[in-house]
Amino acid sequence: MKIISYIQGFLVREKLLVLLLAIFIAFIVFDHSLVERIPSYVNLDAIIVITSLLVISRCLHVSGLTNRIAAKILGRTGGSPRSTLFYILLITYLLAPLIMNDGAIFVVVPLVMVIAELSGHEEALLVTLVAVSANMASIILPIGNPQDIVIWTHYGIPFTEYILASLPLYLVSLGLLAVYIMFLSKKLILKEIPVLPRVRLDEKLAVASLVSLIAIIITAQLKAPWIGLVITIILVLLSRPHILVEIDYPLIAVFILMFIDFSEIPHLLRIQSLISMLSPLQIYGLSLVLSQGISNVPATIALIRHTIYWKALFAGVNIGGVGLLPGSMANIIALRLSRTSVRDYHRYALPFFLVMSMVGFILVLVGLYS
Amino acid sequence: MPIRIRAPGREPRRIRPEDAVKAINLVKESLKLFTAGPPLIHRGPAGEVHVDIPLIYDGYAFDRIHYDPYENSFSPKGRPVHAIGVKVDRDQVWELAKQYVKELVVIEAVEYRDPEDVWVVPLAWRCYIVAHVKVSYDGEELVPDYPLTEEISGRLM
Repeated sequence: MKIISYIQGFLVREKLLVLLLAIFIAFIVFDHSLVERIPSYVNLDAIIVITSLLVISRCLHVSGLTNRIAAKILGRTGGSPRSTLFYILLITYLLAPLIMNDGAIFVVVPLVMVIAELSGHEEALLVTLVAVSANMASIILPIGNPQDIVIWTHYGIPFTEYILASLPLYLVSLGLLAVYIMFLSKKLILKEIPVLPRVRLDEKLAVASLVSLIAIIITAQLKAPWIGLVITIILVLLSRPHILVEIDYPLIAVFILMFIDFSEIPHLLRIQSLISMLSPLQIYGLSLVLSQGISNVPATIALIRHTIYWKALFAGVNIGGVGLLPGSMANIIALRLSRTSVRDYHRYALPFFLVMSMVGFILVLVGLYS
Repeated sequence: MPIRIRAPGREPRRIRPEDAVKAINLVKESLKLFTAGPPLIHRGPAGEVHVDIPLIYDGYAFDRIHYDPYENSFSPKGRPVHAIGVKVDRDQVWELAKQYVKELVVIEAVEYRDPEDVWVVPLAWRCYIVAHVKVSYDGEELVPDYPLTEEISGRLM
């Protein structure tokens, strides 16, 4: 009985995994030859990098380092509502590329919920700004979010080339967010800036995590990400072994199934050659729209094997993540952590998304992302 | 997090009442920043339901508070409620829990746990002690419940 109850609990908790598994089984039943295509569909390098980063983002948070950074930055706000918003943006922009967009959401959203309550800021506004910032900030490093890890490893893009390519979109998004915040902060009145208490810092774990992070980037660049994973596991075993038990392993299975399911869809629809004929602008538009329906990681997987225009795909899926709620898993986590309604999220996110989409369109048109 | 055992041969820490007061004050100052995390709802084989509310700050969980679905209230520490025949609405429980967390007060007396090297500050809701918050021996830093922190982040994905 206990096993049945555990399985029931697991199925309820892992709805996405169950859904992807059901799609996988349906595909296998429909076409047995899928089994032969699986090795070519699953980007093992990306899976290994994502796994390593899942471990490291946990370690960085558990070590207390992210809390120290947030406490330090928020201690400098000086009481102005506008600067509070800017500093929250800064915290998110610093953390997201290092601990991935989802990780930054976990750290910053609880913080802004408290700030909203104490200060009279509208929580939905702050939560939405954090979600948008985490998505846009995470693009600067190829390890900042799953879709960029997939793009980075699939095309074998050199680290510096990736950063140079992502920089314009990153800077434009930062500038636009700053303007958006200036516009929104006019109506805000801040009553109190909380002093953030410090959480115990585990220096050994913090250093081990940062060393692992560098190792993951270098080894992924050398096309040997498993070495980064081994280094990560050894360092974590030496500092806090229990973290390895607490990793969200079903999420790794989710990514593997995403690779299989969403790579198979173009095959089933026989549209691979159609996708390969699309121009950069069309890839940008398609990935942007597709992200709104199926989220940006599946959109990346569905298109990546059939286009050479990685920059257009990169721009489309990353801007796509800040549109409708399903655009990115980070948005869903942000809303689930807070009281923000879907309507309120869209009220603040969609104006930014529309402007950002237009900017992305221009950047692709002028050749920066083509 | 496994309980840190004092290294063999290490002398027990010499504790100071001023550090205990610092620990209490730290939790008092921090309390306004604490909120209720997503309810952890466990369903048993006989259909019983057990609800815990994680107490969180900055993405870290510090303790789990037992929730009584019969009374729609917090239950004292040490009294988890396994309710049968009660419908539990996660969002409703969460909203109530958020309100209740605002009513928490710090009890101005502490325990000291030598193996973990921490002060333990009790929190009360109305007439019940419902949670503990751990603070480092010097009263300077909050010490989270790491396994619980991982549990709540896992459930949100």
